[in-house]
Amino acid sequence: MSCPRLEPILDWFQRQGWQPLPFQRQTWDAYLAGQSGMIQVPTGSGKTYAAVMGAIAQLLESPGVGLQLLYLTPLRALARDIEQAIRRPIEEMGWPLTVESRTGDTSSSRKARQLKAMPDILITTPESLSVMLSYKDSAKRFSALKAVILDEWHELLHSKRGTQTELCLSHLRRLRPDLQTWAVSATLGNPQEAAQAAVGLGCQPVIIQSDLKRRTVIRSILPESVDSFPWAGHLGLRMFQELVDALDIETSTLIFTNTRSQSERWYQALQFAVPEYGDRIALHHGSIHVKEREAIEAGVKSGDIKWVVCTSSLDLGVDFQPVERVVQIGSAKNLARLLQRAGRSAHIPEGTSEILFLPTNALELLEISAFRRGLALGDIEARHPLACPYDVLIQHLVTLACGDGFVPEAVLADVRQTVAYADLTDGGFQWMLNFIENGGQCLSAYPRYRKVSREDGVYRVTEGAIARMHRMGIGTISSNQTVRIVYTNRKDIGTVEENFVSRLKKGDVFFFAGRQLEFWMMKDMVVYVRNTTKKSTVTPVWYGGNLAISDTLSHHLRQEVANALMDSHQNEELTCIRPILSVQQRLSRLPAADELLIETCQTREGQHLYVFPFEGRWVHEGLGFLWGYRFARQQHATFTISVNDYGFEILAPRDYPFKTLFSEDFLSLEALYDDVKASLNLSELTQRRFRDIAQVAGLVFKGYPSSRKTSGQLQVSSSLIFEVFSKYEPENLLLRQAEREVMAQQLEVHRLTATLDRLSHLTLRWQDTKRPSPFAFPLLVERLNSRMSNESLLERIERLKQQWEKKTPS
Amino acid sequence: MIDLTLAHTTLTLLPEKAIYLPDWQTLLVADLHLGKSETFQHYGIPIANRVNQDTLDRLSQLCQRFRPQRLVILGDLFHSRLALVDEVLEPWAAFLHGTDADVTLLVGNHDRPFAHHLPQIPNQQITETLALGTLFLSHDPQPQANHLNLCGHVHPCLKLTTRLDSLRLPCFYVDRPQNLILLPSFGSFTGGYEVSLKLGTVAYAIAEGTLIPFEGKPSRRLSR
Repeated sequence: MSCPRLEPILDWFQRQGWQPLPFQRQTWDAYLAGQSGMIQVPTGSGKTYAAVMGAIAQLLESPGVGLQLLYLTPLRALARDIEQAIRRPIEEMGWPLTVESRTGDTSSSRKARQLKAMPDILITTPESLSVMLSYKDSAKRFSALKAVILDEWHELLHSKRGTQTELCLSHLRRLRPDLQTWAVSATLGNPQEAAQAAVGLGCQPVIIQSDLKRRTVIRSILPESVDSFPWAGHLGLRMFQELVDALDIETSTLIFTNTRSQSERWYQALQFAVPEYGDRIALHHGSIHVKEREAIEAGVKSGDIKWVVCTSSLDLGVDFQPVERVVQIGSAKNLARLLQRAGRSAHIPEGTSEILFLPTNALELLEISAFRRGLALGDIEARHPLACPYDVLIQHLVTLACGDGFVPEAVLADVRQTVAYADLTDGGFQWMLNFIENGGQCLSAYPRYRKVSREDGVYRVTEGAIARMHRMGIGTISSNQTVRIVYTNRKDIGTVEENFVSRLKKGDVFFFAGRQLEFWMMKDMVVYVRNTTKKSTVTPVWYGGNLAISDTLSHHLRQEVANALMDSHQNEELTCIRPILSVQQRLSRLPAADELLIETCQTREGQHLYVFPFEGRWVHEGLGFLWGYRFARQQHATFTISVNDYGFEILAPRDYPFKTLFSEDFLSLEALYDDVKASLNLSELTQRRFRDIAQVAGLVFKGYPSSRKTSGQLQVSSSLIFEVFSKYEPENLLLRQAEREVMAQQLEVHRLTATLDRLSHLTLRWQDTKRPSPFAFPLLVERLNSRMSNESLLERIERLKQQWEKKTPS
Repeated sequence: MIDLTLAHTTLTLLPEKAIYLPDWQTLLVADLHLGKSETFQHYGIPIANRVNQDTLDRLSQLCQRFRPQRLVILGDLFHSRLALVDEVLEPWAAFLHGTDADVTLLVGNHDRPFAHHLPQIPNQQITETLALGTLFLSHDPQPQANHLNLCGHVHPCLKLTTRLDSLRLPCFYVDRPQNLILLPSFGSFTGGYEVSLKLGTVAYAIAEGTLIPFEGKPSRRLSR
């Protein structure tokens, strides 16, 4: 058992009065045996030391020169904490190792020094690692590297940041074939795939799981009476008194909401409810200025701030020892997220995390019940790496070309060792090379284009200006055009999206960062505001707030619906919602597990069709359009389609014969892809996706950080590039990627396929209702609906014009 | 096409993003931005050069159709100094050679820095602004007391939004209180700036070869 190489580590643990946990020992042993793998443990259970101590033991045993251990974290805010945690044993034991961080916050002088002389251990982000690879001599810089730790891998894995990380690692493995990789992840439904993506193909990962049992208890905050409870809506702000009653100002509490707008509103509601606690309650979300966020985080740590209303901005990050309680407002949409948030309290191994769940509408009570049963069974969602996003690889190739240059055959072999690009074709790779060297097919005859040039088989960026521009654009986190919000004395408050600001006029009042602000003026992408006491109800809306419930949760939700009225199945949420479900039963039906409920209802608006597959909003969007298309093919009409996580509505003109037109073909998988494509305005969705792709692939230059505006000559919108590419180079793979992303990520066609298959085995229950049922009501008031019809552009404009004239007073 | 009579002059607005003045036998276009693709290419962003030829082809077609005595480019003919390369200049020279019209180039903000370096071509004049009777032509908006100002620079676009749908279309923007008309940008690789409709303004949106008027109403308060 006693391994001499681990002695210094065990020594330090002993001094702390700690006993290494079994999973820590296991990880160290596996590391020292030369293996790579993934540690899957709850947060706050000693994972950092599990991950680094094996490597540190090795560094102490056989010291090297230069960078030997690289620690990647998704958040730069985390880098500080990690650095402290690693520094502690090194300083206490006087080990001859140096530790530094390198993130966007690091000063440029320190960064320059690091490039010349690296510390032994470096903590950084995927983006900063890419930037390092874009400098010359990176082969030399990483020549002593022994190990890479990927922290919070579950956060990166299924995004383009994860793909970028995979690519960087594939390059480091070429420089250091013996490189060991260890990922640290929260619980995932697909640990094997996640671990493989971390270590690369051609390596058998060890997966280490702790036997630590972290109990998670869900308690709900229920309304006095369900009668007063809204059947629909996103806010449920009327529950604020119940929330205040359930909380205690002496207990450090994180209050999670799903969107930034909701966090703003709940913060206001709390300030209104308990003004006497004013400065002990704070608001934290990603658009608030980083200085203020840091101040809030420090306030939580010191205990000065007790309640923080927040968004996913605090899902991970800073180790909040004092947090004792976590509240979730509205559905968390998936089990993994709920667990992650619950884990923000009780940061001790074997602790119990408790989460208070505040429903914002009646049907969310069912979701709470579904969450609890899902957790009890130990279910959790899988997160898959992305398949072959061309934009990220294009960026990576240019990054390498800026650095030491690359040889295509070698890079192709390397990237095929990643899970993301395992299936990359020769043709696809050739296209990318041609794209960065010649600008694609349509440019090949012209000499002006020069991004990457080839010399003796090596691709390099030779122009300094292009390399500098490329470094500015490294990364895959895309954002909408945002503008800074600043007080007239130039103190920064945060950022909002430009299209929100464009609707404001001088004197308008809006809520932001928990403040009531008056719009003063906008100049050079900066909005100047002043505090005001004037009333307003406008809150900025940020793009991309909507999430759909996961497949794992939707499975449990359907079980809840089917069993809700059974006496053997009761709990406090189901008891609470019982009156509403009884109304549903009376007006329509509660579908059993083997039934699909379809309601039809005639109102002044027209003929409504409601379908309840309980599969999440994106699947319903695809299904709604698909059915709309399949209906319209038989009898032409213009439909309005609304979706939520429970079902979808198709609204047709009065007396539209939905039931007569319906047939088994509606559930057919035949021509599914073509029908979906035909039913949606795909080019608009694709164009929206292309915005991010153009940014990652380096087609849109966002400007140097010091200059306020993008340089005029290069100002261009991604939609214009989309247009030009579509017209002159329709075969461009980036266009195809955009379409693929729409299908796979936005419409989740794989889930749609599975859903159709599931539905085809169900008994259909058609119910004609006199008025909308409790299940239908939320769809009736849902605002995020969209139209479909086969109108031409001119017809569309004509209709837009009519509506536009109607809403404008003349 | 739509004929307007303003300042005692007939203006024919064309869905081809140009204005024809029959009284003056003059064709007006603005913001060609030739060589914008080359500028982007220089910085490693691959935009097809064919956008230049596309722009010039459309201009040639208009010239053949109207046989104007004079063609006025309301500024920003070239996108930047980097646009002044052979592949851009030669097709432009070929266009000038192939047209019978006298070409007047008003200097725009994009071409001002190198206006003096533009190649001297016989039937091409370069000037800041131009007055034609009751009309005053310029690159950027310069409202006049007694003249109708026709100008470019802005790249006007109309955004149509309802709860369910949205579209962005290039447009002519007629502003009666200011007594000016903004021309849409003519170049095939140019973006747009969203204009807002106010009382006394009309936007003629361009879609599928037609012009659709949208008239400004009294402004509304921010609704929500």
